[in-house]
Amino acid sequence: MSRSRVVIACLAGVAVALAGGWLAAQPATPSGSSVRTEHWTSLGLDVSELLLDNGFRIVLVEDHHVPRVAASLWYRFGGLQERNGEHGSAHFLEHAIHQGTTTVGVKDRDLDRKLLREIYDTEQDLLAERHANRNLLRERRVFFDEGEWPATDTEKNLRKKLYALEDEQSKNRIFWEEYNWYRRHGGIMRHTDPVPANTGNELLRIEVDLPKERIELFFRLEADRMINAVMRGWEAQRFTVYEQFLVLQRYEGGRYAEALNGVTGVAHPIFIHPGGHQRDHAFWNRASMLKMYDDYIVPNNATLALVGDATIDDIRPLALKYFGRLPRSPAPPAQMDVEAEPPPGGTVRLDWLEPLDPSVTVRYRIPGVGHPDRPAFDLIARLLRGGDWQVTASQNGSPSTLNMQVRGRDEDLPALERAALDAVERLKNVPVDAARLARVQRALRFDWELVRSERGSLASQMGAFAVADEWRTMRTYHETRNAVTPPEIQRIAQRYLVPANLVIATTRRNPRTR
Amino acid sequence: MTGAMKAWAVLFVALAGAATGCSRASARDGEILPGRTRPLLEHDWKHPRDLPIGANHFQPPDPKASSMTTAAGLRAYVIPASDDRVVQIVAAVPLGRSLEQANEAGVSELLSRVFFQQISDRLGDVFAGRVQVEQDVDLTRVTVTTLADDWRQGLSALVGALRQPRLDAAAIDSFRTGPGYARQTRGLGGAGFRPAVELARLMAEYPLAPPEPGLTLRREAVGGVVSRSLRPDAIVIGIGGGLTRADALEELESLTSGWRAGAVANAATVADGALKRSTERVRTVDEPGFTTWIAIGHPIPAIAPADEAAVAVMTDILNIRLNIAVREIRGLANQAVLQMPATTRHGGLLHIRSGARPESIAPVIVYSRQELSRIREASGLPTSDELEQVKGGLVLGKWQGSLDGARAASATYAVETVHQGSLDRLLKWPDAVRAVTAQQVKAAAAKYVHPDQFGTVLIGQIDKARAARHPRWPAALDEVLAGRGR
Repeated sequence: MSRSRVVIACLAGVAVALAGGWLAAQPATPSGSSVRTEHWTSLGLDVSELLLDNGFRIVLVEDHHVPRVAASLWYRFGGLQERNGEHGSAHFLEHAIHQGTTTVGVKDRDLDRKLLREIYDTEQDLLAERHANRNLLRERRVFFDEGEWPATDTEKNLRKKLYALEDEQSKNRIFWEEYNWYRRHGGIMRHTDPVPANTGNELLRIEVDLPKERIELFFRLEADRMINAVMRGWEAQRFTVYEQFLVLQRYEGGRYAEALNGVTGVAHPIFIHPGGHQRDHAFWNRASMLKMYDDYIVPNNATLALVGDATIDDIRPLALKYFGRLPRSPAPPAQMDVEAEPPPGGTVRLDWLEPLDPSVTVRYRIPGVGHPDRPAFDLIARLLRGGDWQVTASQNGSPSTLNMQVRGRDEDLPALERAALDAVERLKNVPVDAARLARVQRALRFDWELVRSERGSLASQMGAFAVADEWRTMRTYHETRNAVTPPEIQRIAQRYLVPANLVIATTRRNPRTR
Repeated sequence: MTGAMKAWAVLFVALAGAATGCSRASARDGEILPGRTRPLLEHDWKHPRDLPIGANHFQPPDPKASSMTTAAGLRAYVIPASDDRVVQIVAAVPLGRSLEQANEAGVSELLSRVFFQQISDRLGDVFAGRVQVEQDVDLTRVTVTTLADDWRQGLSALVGALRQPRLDAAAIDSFRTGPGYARQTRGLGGAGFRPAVELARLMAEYPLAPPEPGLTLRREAVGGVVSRSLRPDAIVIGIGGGLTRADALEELESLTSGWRAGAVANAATVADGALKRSTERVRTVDEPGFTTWIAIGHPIPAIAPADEAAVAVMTDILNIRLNIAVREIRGLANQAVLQMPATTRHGGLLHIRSGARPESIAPVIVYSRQELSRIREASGLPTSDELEQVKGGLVLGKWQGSLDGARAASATYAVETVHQGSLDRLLKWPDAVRAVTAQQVKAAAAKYVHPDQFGTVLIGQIDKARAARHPRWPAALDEVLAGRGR
């Protein structure tokens, strides 16, 4: 090899080596994006959609009345993704991902990594111990003391070790750091605790309203949370979530509501209480929670709805800089799309024997959001209201329910039940008066205008449609609802409000006297 | 190999090594935390403290431009938002138990029910909108929210109910004061949180505590309150949304025409600082259920105007600290909330609310008291970070939120005018908050927070709470309530 060739080869090698190192040190090339704007004259909205290459979606409605922006980040994830025996863990995940990231909420990052490893390994040992003794630890009983979780001595010692490790971890934490950055910058959040989020059976949402010049904070913190969340203080959070569950169980009717859902459907997980069941709280574990996090809290399973004083040109650079850096993940598993219940076979009756305020609930299963018949049920619910009857139609992407409920005295319940069923029969047999239908549509218009005029409410509603079906469904849903006619009401009532699709439930103050 | 070639080779190896070193440093990009399948994203994003933040341009709507007074003396703030298809009308009425005289206990409660019923009746079933009545100890807020097409109808119903409340003798005779709390405690929020009501009754007299349940009213007592509170020159209305100022003024003039304030009897209200003479400091109520609810605290006097901002900062700092101590580190409860009286102008109850499983009750009380004591000590002086977090929240968050748009701002102006007589305090609030120092917070705590004087009310599984010991933070409830124990 000639000298010059050697020199050239060396230089080339250096260049390649340098280039390789340089490239590896650089951030990945930001994703591209596409923008599309739709004019929804029927709703008085212009909606822009920014779709990143990694599947992350932003929908924006400009509202320049006040220099603030409401941000509502929705994941298509919730109780439907939980495994049996771990119900409530989706809600727990919501808490667990609000304990900081690799760069926020921690003092010494190396110590943090060391403790995380020890904690994870200790839990693995604990799970192995539980698994090895599973036959011994099975309770096989109906009643249990909520404070007593059966465990071997080894398991108890491992749990103590876990608690001690978390105490160590606490010393290395900056508590509430993300929440306090939001607070410092004027974040308005629905909750007063550091988890400005909610979880249901089909959704996990995070919502913050910020001054417009500080909206970058939301992108910075939430993109980080989406990929770099670190689940610190996990055991303390387990008990925090447990306390929330106990409150729900305690309030009058909590257990009754859970039982009512239980008899409403036989197969669909939408009818499982999103807070989980009491015993499940003992069996949540980091390993299955981290799997849910990696499967579902990903850019291609999220929609960010923004409403406020921002344009798509303001938002796009932030979207690319933060969420655009996240790699697209494999498509989330499809448990979300559990389909309809088996055909119902007849009326179900629930006669609740725990003394409660007397009430009758008449419930029918109805289609989910995205089905063309669903919008009419908002009108049907209003039409069935009258006297003291409260009538609501739930809005899931999964099968939903129409609920008529009234309170009275124990002795009035049979008559109240008859009155409800008579009202339903009238709806099926007599076309609704057009003027009455118009009044009901006007009442729904009022509800919509309240949503439209409040940044946070509008952002939230767009997110809700995004996870139930897709955000564009919001438009067709409202347009369909506004165009419903009396014959359609009658047709839909005749189709769905039938005895084979009915659940009747009663509670009484003195159930034994019946 | 020649010397030159050797030199190049050495250089190559060195540079290649350096490049590889760079490459290895960045390999952290692929780090996977235990239990994860996705690698971490090693990014170069600035820490939140270093993010560039532009100037904040929030300006509350001009109160002078929105203010008007009718010939009858009724003041209003009207803030139009031409593209809003909703109108919100809020009447701020100086009506509540702190403004009642000794023989008038319960009249405010009766009137709030009358307003709701009468407005709803006037609007009828065809009305597409919302009627709400909320009552604090010194102010009642009556709200009608309507579609913009219907605002005249809503305003007419609201003013009609305030101007001529239908108070038939039978309704007055059959009225009985309610329990003062929600029958079922489902959470920590609201004036109906029963442990707080019981604590107020344990430690103070009416009107700091709600009147005893089941009291009857005399007809002349109702007339007295009506003549003082339902006067056009005492009520302030806030209207925001899709209407014009001119239309609103015209309608208000028409609706208040001829409304004259009657003669007012001397309005000597009940002294609101009256404390119970009893030394009893603990009350327990057995109730079934999983959660035992807690209120611990003591009555405080009206807060001096000069202390208001420091007290607001102190309250938010303590709320963060309480929840870190009780929830984040120990998982004892979902929340512990420090609640100050709804108004600074009258005495009220400073207290912590929480709810938890039996084993957590005693430690919740212990650590809550500890946090409230700590802020009065040198070691508990607020840090600069705490001050900045809380001040940002109070000014950029709560204050801006109260003035966010035509509807919120018009309602806030009306309420503030009834409370304070002007908007000066409201408009100067950001400066007052920003000026608060750590020492002022400490001084406010020393003046208003006295954990050694706390009373305690527990409602729930009392026997279980007495017997239980938390496995990690054991404390005996009886000893804690007796002022001993950890």
